[in-house]
Amino acid sequence: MYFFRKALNNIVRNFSVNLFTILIISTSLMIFNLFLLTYHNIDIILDKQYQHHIFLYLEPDFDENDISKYELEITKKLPSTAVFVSQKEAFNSFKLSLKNDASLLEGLDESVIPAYFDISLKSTPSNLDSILKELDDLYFVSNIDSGKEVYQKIEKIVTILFSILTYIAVLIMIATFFAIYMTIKLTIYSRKEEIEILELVGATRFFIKMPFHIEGVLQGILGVSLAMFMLYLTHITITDTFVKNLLSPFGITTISFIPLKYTLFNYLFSIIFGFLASMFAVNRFLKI
Amino acid sequence: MIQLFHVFKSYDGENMVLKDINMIVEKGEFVFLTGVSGAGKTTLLKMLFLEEKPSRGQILIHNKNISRLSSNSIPFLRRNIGVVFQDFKLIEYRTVFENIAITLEILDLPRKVINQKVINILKLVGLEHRKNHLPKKLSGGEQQRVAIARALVNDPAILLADEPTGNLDPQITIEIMKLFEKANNNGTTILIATHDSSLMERYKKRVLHIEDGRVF
Repeated sequence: MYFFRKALNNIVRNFSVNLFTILIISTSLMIFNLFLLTYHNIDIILDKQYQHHIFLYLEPDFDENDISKYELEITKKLPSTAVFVSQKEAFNSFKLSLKNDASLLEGLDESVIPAYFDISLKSTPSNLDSILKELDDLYFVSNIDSGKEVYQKIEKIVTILFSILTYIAVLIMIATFFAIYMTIKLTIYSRKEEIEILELVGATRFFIKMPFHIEGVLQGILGVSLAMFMLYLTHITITDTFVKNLLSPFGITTISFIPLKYTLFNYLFSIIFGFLASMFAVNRFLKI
Repeated sequence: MIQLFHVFKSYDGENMVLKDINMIVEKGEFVFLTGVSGAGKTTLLKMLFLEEKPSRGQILIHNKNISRLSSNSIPFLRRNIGVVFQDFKLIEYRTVFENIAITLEILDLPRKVINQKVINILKLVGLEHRKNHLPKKLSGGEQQRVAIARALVNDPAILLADEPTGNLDPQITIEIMKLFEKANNNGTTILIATHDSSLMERYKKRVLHIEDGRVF
């Protein structure tokens, strides 16, 4: 408790320097977590929209009386639920999705859109490609849209995002380390007189060093807390405006906040780096 | 209690500040260490609490050779020695109370005990009303008394004071000497470095004289 109080005193005494350090850490982590949030959500969308969702279009001359038979054949080959969507339903649904541009369909009837099965996979089999080929060869199947091309394109974006995340993570490690390192250095200089007196009255090295380590850890925790708060506000704003207006037509109704395990990782990272940076600064500048 | 055998000290490896010092201060003794400015009084005191190490010779405190102490053990030696520094060494941005409490905080004593001990010593040095003031708001005499309170609050076995009455008016000097005598009566061994001959005339204690780096 004594060390914690001393560390807080140090932060209050050198408030502007500490605030600057905390802002550097939180801004860096905020940028990192924005990318992480994007990465995490694209991953979810890929998983939901493409990996587990297949559209199987029927031949124009399919027999409506055999729908149950078709469904059975599909679900026998793929562990899934297959929902039949008639031409009329498909046409109306498409019309609805066009909203104000629905007039484009004037003069056209439901025959322009094929009937299809909306297949939701229960799990993704490892031989999905060969099963899809088998399904495609069935006599009532016109073609299959597994979203593979789109999936692959988005997967490329995810890979690029992941690389950017890695670079940012390295930059943040360096920024966090040096921000805390320099602050502890300044604190040591500002407390030089006190440290000398502490030594002369019999304080151990541990007693003198510990507040600096706690100060480094506190800077990390305060930095990550501020970053998470700002990220949460950004998340709410994005969900309220961006998602409702721009992404809902694509079936994306919400953006998930980063999972708890990533948040905990942020804290763990900041605590470890706060401690390491203070340790290096103390060993370098505190000559006792 | 304090024993020095053939102690030499040089800062540059050539000029000896202290030469072949041999002296013994018994437990519970009150001793003045005198000599002109630059004679080596401060250096000798600094060696007793290991702010400086002797170039040669042995220093024994409680029969322990402190010249051989590891750096990890030095803090534990210092906890038994109260030091009143010539320049007071008070932390400017800490209050009088906090400056004194430092000595007890390093011992990890409960806050309640610390508060009680600090208040008691502040009463003893007559500065209870100044406990929340910063050192710069105090007079020279008051700062000196804070430094003495910090040195005594832990009831040290030894008290070293470097020119504790320098630049103080006679009335405050008497008050400060009373504090030292009180501590001495309670069993603390006291070694005061001073060049104030009137002190030695007034208080009939053993006097060790340093001249040209040697003790007589």
